[in-house]
Amino acid sequence: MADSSPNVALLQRWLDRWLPKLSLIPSGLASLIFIYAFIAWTIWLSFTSSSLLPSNNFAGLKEYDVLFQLDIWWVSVANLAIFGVLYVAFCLAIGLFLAILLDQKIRAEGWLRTIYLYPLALSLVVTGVVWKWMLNPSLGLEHVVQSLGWTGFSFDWLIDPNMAIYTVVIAAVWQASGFVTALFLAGLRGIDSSIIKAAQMDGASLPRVYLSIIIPSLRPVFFSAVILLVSLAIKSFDLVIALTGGGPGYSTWVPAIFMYDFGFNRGQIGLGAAAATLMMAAVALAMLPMLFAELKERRDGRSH
Amino acid sequence: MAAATEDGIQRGGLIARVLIYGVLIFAAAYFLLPLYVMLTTSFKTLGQISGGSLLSLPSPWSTEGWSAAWSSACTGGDCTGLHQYFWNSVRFTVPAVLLSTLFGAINGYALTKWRFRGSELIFALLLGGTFVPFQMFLLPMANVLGKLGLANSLAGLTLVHTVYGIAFTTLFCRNYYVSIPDELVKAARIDGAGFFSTFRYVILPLSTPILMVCIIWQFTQIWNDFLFGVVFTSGGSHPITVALNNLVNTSSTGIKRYNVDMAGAIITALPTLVVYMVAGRYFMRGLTAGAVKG
Amino acid sequence: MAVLNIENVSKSFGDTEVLKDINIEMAEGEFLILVGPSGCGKSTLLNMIAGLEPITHGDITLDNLRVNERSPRERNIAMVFQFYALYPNMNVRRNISFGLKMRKVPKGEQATIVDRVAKMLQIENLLDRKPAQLSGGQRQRVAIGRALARDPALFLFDEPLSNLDAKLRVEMRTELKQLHQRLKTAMVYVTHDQIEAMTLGDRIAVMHEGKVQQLGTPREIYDSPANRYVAGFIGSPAMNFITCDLAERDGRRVVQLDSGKGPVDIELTEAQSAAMANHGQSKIVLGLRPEHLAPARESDGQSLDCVIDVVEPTGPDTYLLTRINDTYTTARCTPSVAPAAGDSIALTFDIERAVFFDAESDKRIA
Repeated sequence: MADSSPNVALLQRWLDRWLPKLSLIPSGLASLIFIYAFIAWTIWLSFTSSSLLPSNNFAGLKEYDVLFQLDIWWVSVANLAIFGVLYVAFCLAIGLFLAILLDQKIRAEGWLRTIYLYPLALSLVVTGVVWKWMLNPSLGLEHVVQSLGWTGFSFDWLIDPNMAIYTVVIAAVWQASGFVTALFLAGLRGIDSSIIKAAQMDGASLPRVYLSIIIPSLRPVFFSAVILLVSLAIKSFDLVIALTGGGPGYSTWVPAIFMYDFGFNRGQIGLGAAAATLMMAAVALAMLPMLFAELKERRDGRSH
Repeated sequence: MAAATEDGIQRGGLIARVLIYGVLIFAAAYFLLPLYVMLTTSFKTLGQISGGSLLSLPSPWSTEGWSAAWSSACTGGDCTGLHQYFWNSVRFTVPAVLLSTLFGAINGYALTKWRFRGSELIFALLLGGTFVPFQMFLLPMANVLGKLGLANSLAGLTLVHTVYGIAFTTLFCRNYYVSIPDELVKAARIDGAGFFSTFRYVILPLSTPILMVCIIWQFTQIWNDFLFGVVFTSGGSHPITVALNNLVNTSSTGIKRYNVDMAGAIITALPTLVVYMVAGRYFMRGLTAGAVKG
Repeated sequence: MAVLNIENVSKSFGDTEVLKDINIEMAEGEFLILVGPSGCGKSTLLNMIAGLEPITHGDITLDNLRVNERSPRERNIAMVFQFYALYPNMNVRRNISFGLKMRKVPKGEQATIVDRVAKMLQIENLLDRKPAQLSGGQRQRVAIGRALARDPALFLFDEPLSNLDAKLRVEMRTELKQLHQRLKTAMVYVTHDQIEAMTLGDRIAVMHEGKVQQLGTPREIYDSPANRYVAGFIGSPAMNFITCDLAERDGRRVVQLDSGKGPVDIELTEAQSAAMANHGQSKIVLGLRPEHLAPARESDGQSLDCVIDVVEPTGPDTYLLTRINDTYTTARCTPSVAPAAGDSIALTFDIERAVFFDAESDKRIA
């Protein structure tokens, strides 16, 4: 046998048995502390009257009360709603449209896909910086259109408090729609092409086949794309900071900026924690449908 | 007229094909436009920028924006360009990528090939980190980093990125290792290999594709991060994303130097863009894997 | 001296008991087969011998040493797997020597062993290839080589041939048997293929529902199955089971068979009658292999007139399907005397070779 000394053999046997479990301890411990304990901690902070430093003075729902009376919070929430809805809708529409076109046996598909997807490799700060330049009212795209002869053309959303949030949508959609295209394309590739042939033999036109057979069968892709985009929208921070800095004024604030500003710049830790907690609740709410769908699928899968 | 292509599906006639290609090429132009603008602007002089069109090519080409962005532009407090922040980002991104990938690989291996009672629970526990908005972790983490003496340090950022990256790398590796036959591990155990030697000699050599996915995913995420950088560091220890934002949005001089801004943006974007160009297919695989659960 | 001793071993996954009270003792140099349908627990038992699965209850002894707590590397065994389990990143040479490397055998000695094993299995020309460049048969040969290199006290085989095509399977079966005759090392071999079990085994353990139904030599298993399950599992085409009435005539036990033309008494042998003496029930199951039911010649004694429903030629033999006691029954004959479907012929019983089962417990009575 391999080992001469009985002690070495015993140690080895012990290691064989426990190493798989021991190897998971660092990560398990890290996630217990840095994820679960931190979540609990943040939730706890949101129930305290912590200001500049975390404190343990239980204050009940006071911070939430304050939060709900702050105009700036509701601006943030409204901005997130506008941004979220438009962002998801445009990304899905552009993504699905381009994916269907790309699925028509396109010659340079690989190249096109590479081009469509590269924005996702960029930092959102970079995206914000470049769009800020392109949307510059005097020197950017407005100037290009004017120099084409349409001198009355005006595009100053970036400095218009009522419109600035839409510039965030423009930049964010540019960044993510290629990714949604790739998701849908993967979904389309998963569809058995004999179904399309069979439908065409039955006399259905190609657009008809897409509308009534293919797009409905992409439901799972829609699902994961929506969940992904919604959670990206709720977390969006970098892009807004880089593109508008939250301005003009605080007209483009979103909850993530609110949380950062109140939690770290204004010394209102309790409010920051309350905002973070509500953000997590929003993500959880967005996840619920997926969770239910998964559970249902499992149940259905078992009953077959 | 409908024409059948080689796969037997009728796809419409010539006009439809031309239209499709037209739309796809237009879309490509739309995606490429910001890159084009970034590049051309970065090589223009300020005079060319204010006098010319956004879409015109630089003439003559000038590298003044680039040298300023790299070594002399002001980023908030100091005016030494982005170079030191670039190296800052390298210094915490590389160890955080390697550490989180290593842990992810070992976790994935232990969770699939040495399953035990409760291992699924541990997997679910680790996965929790992929769903929660990072805002939930900021306040406690700032506190803990301060207590550990890691506030405002690259070591602190390394820790943060490693910890929150493990959930993703574990997910990727677990899903990959599930497809490696258990018999291989059994054979290695019969051959006398233990937990780590099986990993080293049998599993790791088979892991190149998934390690690539992990490394590229983590590299992109960590390099591009702004939130942790802005919250946990200040001044000289900022990562490049924060420095770029400072460069662009806190200019003290009054005159906007767009060529410098754009050169800075390209410098910031270059590492991840190069990775994307070189290993795009792994990038895509990571994205779809992340999308399924993330 | 026993190489392997399995004593009162059982195994549970949660609440499900997959192995119940297994007892097997294996002599040195023996070729033992564990055979049974999928899910019978045979692979689990093999994994427990290997140390890959913990033992819930009971003891496993290797070379007179209790090994329950020992990891695979501390057991003097080698194993060959169904899907070969060759390390894809290593060439054949490194695959074979990996176990030696892990056990810190000196490099020079490793090379000698690899060369010896490669020569024995005639795979010298494959040593520098990767597994992906090998055919299925070559892969399994390398996997066997990897096991041989270890020179263990016991070889374990987990359905090693079931992934090969039919022709190759037969060739490799023969080679394995020759290998065992040459090495004279004890082997435990798991299979679901009863022909492999019969051809390879010194002894066979037929397993079903987590229990060893019978442990014995191939002859014992084939001629004297312990119960109806074993009788039906071993042999192809399967043994006929005919439920019939037991009666007594002139002091001799008889069974009554009816092929649709009225009952006919078939007389049992004296030994069978004696064994049946204590059997209270009047119903009994007659087990008769197809080769013991054949068209009668003039000289044959007890026979039954039957209508042949289906005729199935297989080449060397032709099988005839008829109905006896409302049960489809297979008879075997040489092709030259095969009747046509619809013919009515007399079938004779080799009653001495017949076995009898209790109609309720399925245990063999005689």
